[in-house]
Amino acid sequence: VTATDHGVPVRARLASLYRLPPIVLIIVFGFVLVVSGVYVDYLTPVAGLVGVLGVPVYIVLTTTDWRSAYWRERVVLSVAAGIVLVLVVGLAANLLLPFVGVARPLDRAPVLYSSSVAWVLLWWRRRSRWSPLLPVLRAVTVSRYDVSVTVLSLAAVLTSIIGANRLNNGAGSAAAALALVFVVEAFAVTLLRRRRLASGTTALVVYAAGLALLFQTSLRGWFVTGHDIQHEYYVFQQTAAVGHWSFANVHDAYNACLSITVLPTMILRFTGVDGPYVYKVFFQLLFAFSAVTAYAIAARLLSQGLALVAAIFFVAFPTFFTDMAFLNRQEIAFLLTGCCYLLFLIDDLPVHRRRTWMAVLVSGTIATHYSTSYLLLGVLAVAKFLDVVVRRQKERGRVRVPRSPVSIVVLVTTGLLCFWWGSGSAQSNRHLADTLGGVVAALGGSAGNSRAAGASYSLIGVKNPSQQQLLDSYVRSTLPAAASARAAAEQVVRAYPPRLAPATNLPTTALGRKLESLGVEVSVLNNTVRSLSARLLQVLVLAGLVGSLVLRRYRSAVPAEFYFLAVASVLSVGAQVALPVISEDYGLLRAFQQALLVLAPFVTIGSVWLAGVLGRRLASVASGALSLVLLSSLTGLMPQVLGGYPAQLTLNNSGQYYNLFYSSPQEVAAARWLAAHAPAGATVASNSALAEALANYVNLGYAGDIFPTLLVDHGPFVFLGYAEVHLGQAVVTESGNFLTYNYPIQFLDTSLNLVYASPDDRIYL
Amino acid sequence: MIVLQVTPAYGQSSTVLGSTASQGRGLVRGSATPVLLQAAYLDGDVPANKERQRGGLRTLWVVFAEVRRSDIVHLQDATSWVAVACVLSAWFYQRPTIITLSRDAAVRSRRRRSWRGRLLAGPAEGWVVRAAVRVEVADPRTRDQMLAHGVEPARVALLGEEIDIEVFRPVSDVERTELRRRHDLPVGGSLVLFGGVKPPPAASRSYRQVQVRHAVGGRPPGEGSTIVVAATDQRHLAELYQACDLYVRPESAGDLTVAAQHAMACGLPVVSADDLCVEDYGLDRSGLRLYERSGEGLETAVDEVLRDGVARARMAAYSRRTSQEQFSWTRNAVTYCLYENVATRPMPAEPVERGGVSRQHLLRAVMAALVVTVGLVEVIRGPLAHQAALSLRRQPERYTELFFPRPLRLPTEVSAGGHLTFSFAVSNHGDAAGSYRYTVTESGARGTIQAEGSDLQVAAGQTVEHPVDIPAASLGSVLTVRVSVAPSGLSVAFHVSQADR
Repeated sequence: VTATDHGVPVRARLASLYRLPPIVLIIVFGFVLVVSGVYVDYLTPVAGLVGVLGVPVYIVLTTTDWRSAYWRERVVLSVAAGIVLVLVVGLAANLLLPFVGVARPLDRAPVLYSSSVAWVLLWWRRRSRWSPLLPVLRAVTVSRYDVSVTVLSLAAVLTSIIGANRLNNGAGSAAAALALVFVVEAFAVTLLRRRRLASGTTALVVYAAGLALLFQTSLRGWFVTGHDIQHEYYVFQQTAAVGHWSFANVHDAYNACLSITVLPTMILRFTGVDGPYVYKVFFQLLFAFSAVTAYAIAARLLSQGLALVAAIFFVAFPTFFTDMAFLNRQEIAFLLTGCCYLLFLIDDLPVHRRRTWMAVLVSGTIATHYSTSYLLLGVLAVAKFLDVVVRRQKERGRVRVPRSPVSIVVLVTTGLLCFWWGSGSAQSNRHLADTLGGVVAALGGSAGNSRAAGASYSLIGVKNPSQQQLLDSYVRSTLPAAASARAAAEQVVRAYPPRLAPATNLPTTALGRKLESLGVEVSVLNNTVRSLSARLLQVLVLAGLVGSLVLRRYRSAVPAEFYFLAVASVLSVGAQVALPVISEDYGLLRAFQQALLVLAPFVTIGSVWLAGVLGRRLASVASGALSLVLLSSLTGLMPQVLGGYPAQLTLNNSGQYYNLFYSSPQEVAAARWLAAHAPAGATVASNSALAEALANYVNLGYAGDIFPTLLVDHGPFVFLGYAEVHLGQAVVTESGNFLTYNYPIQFLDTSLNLVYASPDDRIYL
Repeated sequence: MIVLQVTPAYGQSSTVLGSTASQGRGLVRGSATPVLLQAAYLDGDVPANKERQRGGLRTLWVVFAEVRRSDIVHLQDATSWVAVACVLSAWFYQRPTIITLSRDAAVRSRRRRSWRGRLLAGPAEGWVVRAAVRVEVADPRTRDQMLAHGVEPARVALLGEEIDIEVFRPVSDVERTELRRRHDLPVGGSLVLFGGVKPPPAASRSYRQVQVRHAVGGRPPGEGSTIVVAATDQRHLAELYQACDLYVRPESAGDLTVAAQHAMACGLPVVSADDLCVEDYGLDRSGLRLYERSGEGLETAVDEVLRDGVARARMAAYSRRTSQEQFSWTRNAVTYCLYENVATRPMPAEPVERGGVSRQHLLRAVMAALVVTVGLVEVIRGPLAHQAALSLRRQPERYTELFFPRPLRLPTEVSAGGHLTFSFAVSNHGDAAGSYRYTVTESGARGTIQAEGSDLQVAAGQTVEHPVDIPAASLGSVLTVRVSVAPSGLSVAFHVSQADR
């Protein structure tokens, strides 16, 4: 037997055989895991995620004619389309299966079967357009720098998970801080080596860094932690519990968001993880693509390096990593919104196809989050209006070629859809109606003390009431109308006058003390950097908008319709500052984060333009350095290293967010005790943040806040959490602002029975 | 130019090492002037190296270091783990590898039967030889073996063992007689140099058998009519060969060994078994005396050659000519210009910019992943297990709960002199049983008194309810009954209105 006539062919055949089975085995194994319902740590969730989202994303990615669109754009658009597909399939199953006798269409079996059928049909329908992915992946060439920064950014993700877990277990914050160091380092190395990196690598770094920042927040606590997420989890649990989504499940606007009802239920059915981890992990995996979207948008306008700077500005904005992980419905909506904005720039695709994509994505946003869709539609409408007006003037007498992905038809259709969807949930439209009513009132000059949270950072000189004024306003609002009851309540106020609690800073570290020995007050430094950074971002936005008109190289790079989109976004944020009643329901900072999807490139242009005094070459360097400094400061790395600034939830087991939103095992145990011992129909009073968390464990009515005047002649249970028991502080929300005051716990001790006590929680009756 | 030669064994008596050394000398005779690194010490099979090899990673490190400072890696086997490490490091540092496989190595490879050999050594050999820029083999069967491993035919070269034909040369009859005297060999009669391992008994024969063994000093005892002599060095060996009249290559001798080549270089006629070896080496059948494999063929053939002086002279001339043509170092010197050729051949450029990840970085990444994996396993199982668990798993939170099990049925009023009856409960969420010291106090406008106090034993994970029945003290119109538990410092309380006397 020689090698040429027998040996080699046999070996070749064997080689081809052993290359095949692993892939087949993995697919079969994953399929068996998901279908059998056997839960194997990490494997089942991964297989489930592939089943519920990976498959539709893959089908869209490989069966769409992308022309010459970049891969980062293809991926984010495919992910967005995949989410919309999952929503459509889930909604269709939810609506149609009851007609064939399936009473619980969102249970495990119906979800698995309906999804599988849908994906097979989708594949069958589009199979002729399939373009294999494997040759593309094989053709990818990466340099050692690609490997280095990828490893660094993945290390950031891993360390952020470890850091959050360690904090949850009561250990130190070193790992969490290290994760931030990795994030900053990954960005810095990517900026320095950008010319040697493949563009895909940069997108990967942006994704991983964004994910690391999100995990730092989302993975805090072993239970549901955060503000809005508590109620989001509640509506999700209601949907999962009854195996069916309906407006009637929960009568509020949250329930109208399919992103926190149908989508998490489908992910839950496929992956089999604990409920909270659907939000804590999978939603963050999806939302991290919004950072890539911001990068993809910027990369269409700027060089690779400056596009990365824009992406850093986007993820460095505090809302991205402190609040978005608690706003899961908005995470999905932001991703879809970002893709809508991205469509303005992918001129490789024909306009009619972009308009189809736009209609799909805006529709998805409407079903995902009502407020985001209002803002999105508003921005798109204003941008379209400006486009029409300006182009009509400019191109008078000429044949106009449609360029914008937003047509009047798309706007009207999606607007009607938005209204129809809102009418399904009375609460959604009521929100809109209340907000519009408030706007009208504000325009009429009766806005009262309304003030947008975060407006203190605004460049616009809005006169803001002080914290004490807001607290006094709150106290007045708690006084009953009846004269006798009012007198008793006022007596309580006199006996226990509410006082704002002083802000507690982290102790100054050794490095901070060294800095102070040089004459730099670290608390002043931190506060200055924070407040300056907020204002600086706004200055840079405006500078960028002007600069992109003035500077020739950017004037040609920024399409007119995208510029109008940026202007509309600025107007949307400006409206929230000027008319705070809007932001009470939405949040100024969230609006700015949404606007940053469009404005981040302009922030970068502004920074380069202003730094142009250093020379063109140094201007880019300065812009990159500025973004990294902002990232270090705003993520909390710098305050953590120096001290002298309020603690952040991502890095400490203390601070305002920890006191307010962190659900500890003791708190859950106390809630379960209450659920077991409270009679049917009883109500419970607690601070508003705690009330949302309690709703996930106790089926009791909410009796309101725990401010003493509200507890005079009080009948319900009173639940005190960590902040009240340990720190003697309570927090109320007034006009969208958190007010921390010293809580008079003696009032409860003297007037109510203390029936339950654990180190962190108390229950009075 | 630095050439790293790695031999599979170590020792002065090793034929392979001798071959290696000769190759080295042949190389020096060529146009190149390389520095040779005898890297046999890397091999753990050598007893002297056991100590050194004990730390496997350390040896691996040495291999990498040696390869790094070499220009070419020349291996003498393809199955030892050192060879695998050499090829790996050569791949890592982008060094060309040449492999010379002796028959011994090839035969060992072919005879491999154990599962370990088949599963590990076989694929390893295949991988090693495929990675080489040139594979030199000693015989056609080994060449086929290499081709079966998937080595490109152009990379395989058939190369015999090489010898120094200036040292191993024919001598005249006078010189032969002198040599026999010098080495205490029989001066009269014929001496037949036997090439096999175990010479056949030859007590009745007309000639004496000579067997040469490699030894350091001394003369091994003879076996019957066989004279066993020991060679101490190459020149001594050559003189022993030159003292003989004929070389016998029995069928048990295997292939055309170095000994046969030495004998042919010394101009000894060769009586050989008629086997594949003749074809393999392309030998002229008329220049040899071949005998059938069976029984008496060998003895007959030897007698015929010894009797026929003309044929012996013809065969002697053929032997010398063949060694000059096939086994000469002169040819080696030309062959080993290969080193230069290989070294100057442009290797695939290391892609560092955009052409792909360099092998070094890929391997570093793999090694880093291995280190991280091993580290993690160590952390998870080792003394840092607690830290690992702290980072990856939820840890139980240890705390105590104190509460009234029936909060809605607590006394709200008590008559003067009446009793207060209620119960409280302690839940122990610690990891061990706890002893809780509780106190029940009554407080009013006129002071505080302790009504009851004792210890309560609560097992881990358990809740213990304790009933209380105490007289109500007259301390004011409103009495506060407080239950406190140490060491947790928790307390619960309720208010009772009473008629004050």
